[in-house]
Amino acid sequence: MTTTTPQRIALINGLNMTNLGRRDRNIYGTIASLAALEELVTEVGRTLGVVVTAFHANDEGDLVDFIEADDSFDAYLINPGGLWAFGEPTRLALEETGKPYVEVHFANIFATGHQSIFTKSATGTVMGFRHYGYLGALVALAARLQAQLTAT
Amino acid sequence: MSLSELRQRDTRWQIVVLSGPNVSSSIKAVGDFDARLDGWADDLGVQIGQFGSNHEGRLLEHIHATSATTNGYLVNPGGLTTIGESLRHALRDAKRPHVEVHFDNAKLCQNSIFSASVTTISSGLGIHSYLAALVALVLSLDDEDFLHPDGTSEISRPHGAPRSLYQ
Repeated sequence: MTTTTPQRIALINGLNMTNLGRRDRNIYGTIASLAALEELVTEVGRTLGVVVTAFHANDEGDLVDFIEADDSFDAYLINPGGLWAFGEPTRLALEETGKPYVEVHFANIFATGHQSIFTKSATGTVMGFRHYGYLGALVALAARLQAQLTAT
Repeated sequence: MSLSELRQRDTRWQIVVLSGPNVSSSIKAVGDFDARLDGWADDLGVQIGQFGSNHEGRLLEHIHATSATTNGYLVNPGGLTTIGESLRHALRDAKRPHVEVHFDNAKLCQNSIFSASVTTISSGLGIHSYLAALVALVLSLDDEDFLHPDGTSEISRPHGAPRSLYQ
């Protein structure tokens, strides 16, 4: 089923994700950089027929500003980075959009004995697949949005 | 597009989808659960085998019987999420990458005993949690630096033990 207006997904990478490519490869794998990751997700989005808008900030306020500035996205993919532990303003901003959002992490952070504060209000959580989790989450989110579209 | 276009290889990975106690009600609500999973597996170019049981022992026996020929597991522990210690051990002993899957993210927030020991998690997107899990698992299996069974580099993890910033 094709639609005239493609669905729009915001890809948000939070704190420290600019270090991608220089971080522990045991966890973050072989992806070269944040730019490479954003390009990959955007390109796969294009083949799926969804428009991906990538955003990154190392300052939590900028993430909240971004989420509040544009409420026209259909869904969000977010790796909150270190904010998984205490990014309450970001979590609330996402929750208040009323749109589905999927939390993605390179590592399985439950293996640290911790739980992300995002999980309780996230529509979905994909973690532990390094950068492939973004692609799995994107494919699933796009399919879900498409299914909702054809159901209405 | 075909999902196989996302892949680096065309190996037909063997993946087992396990459904624990009480999951059958969610599966029935989907209606065509088996067919949709098979369709996604075909599109990716991998093979899946589905097995569901309300009996933990049968799940264990299925894992014991399949681990030698299986490249990865998707597991929805259902009613065993908080108490299925034997199932958790069977998955670890299988030494294969395994994904904890839930239809609803609330299950992840209810003290799952699986989350800390599984390789990866895909949850909350209804049946599409399985799609995310399949796509991400297959791409990860294709990668010799990650979950590929023959991976030998220092950052590969063919046995599927989770890694975190603290390990």
